[in-house]
Amino acid sequence: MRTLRFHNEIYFSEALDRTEEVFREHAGIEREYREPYSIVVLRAVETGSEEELAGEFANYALALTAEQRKAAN
Amino acid sequence: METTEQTAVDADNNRVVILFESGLYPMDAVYGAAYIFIDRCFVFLDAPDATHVKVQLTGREALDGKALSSLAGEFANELLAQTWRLQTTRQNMPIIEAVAARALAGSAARADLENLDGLDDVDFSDDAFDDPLGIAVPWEEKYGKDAPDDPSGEESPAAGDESDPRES
Repeated sequence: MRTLRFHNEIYFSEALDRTEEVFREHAGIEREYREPYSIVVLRAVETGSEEELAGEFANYALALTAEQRKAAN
Repeated sequence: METTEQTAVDADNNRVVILFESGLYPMDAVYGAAYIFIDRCFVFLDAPDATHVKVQLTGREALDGKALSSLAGEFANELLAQTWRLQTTRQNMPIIEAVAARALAGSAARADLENLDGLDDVDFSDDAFDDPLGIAVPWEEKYGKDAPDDPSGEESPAAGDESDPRES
């Protein structure tokens, strides 16, 4: 199990929503809000590195946030 | 763990943490630099307080302390480059907008119907339409059908002759 804390001023909520959709087939995902963070708990479905899964999840959310922010400007 | 004022290398966990003041670099530059690094490492951003941004870089492969420190340095350089590029773009934005506006206005220009003084200088004489090869003559006029009341009843060459009269 891996827990990630995404700051709401840095990561867009829509980006986290989309990332959660994409990774749902690879991991059990629980999400809750504790201002100013969105707490994401990941449990890998298949045997593999949960650390890598968490890293890819964070990268995906960051990339989507960066793209959405760029599009908004 | 090797720690300086701004970076903390954690070789045991294969990661380096960079902390900097948020007012020093625009967030767009931070996102830009982070975006570039996501293919090399796992990037995680945080805002521990209102005035700081924390960047955590975790190697995709095992990295030693030196490599992690180098990674942090490269990120800082990229952050600076992104900031400079952003600043240059913003400074040049009025020029870019002016050039784009002029280009668009030129392509969408309409005739100024109230100012036709220039037409007096245009030569509209027949010389401009001199057609020695008869290219401008319509085909019907050149090879047109015979009159419909032809008593012989034979079809005109233009209608019945399969050879192309234009080849003659």
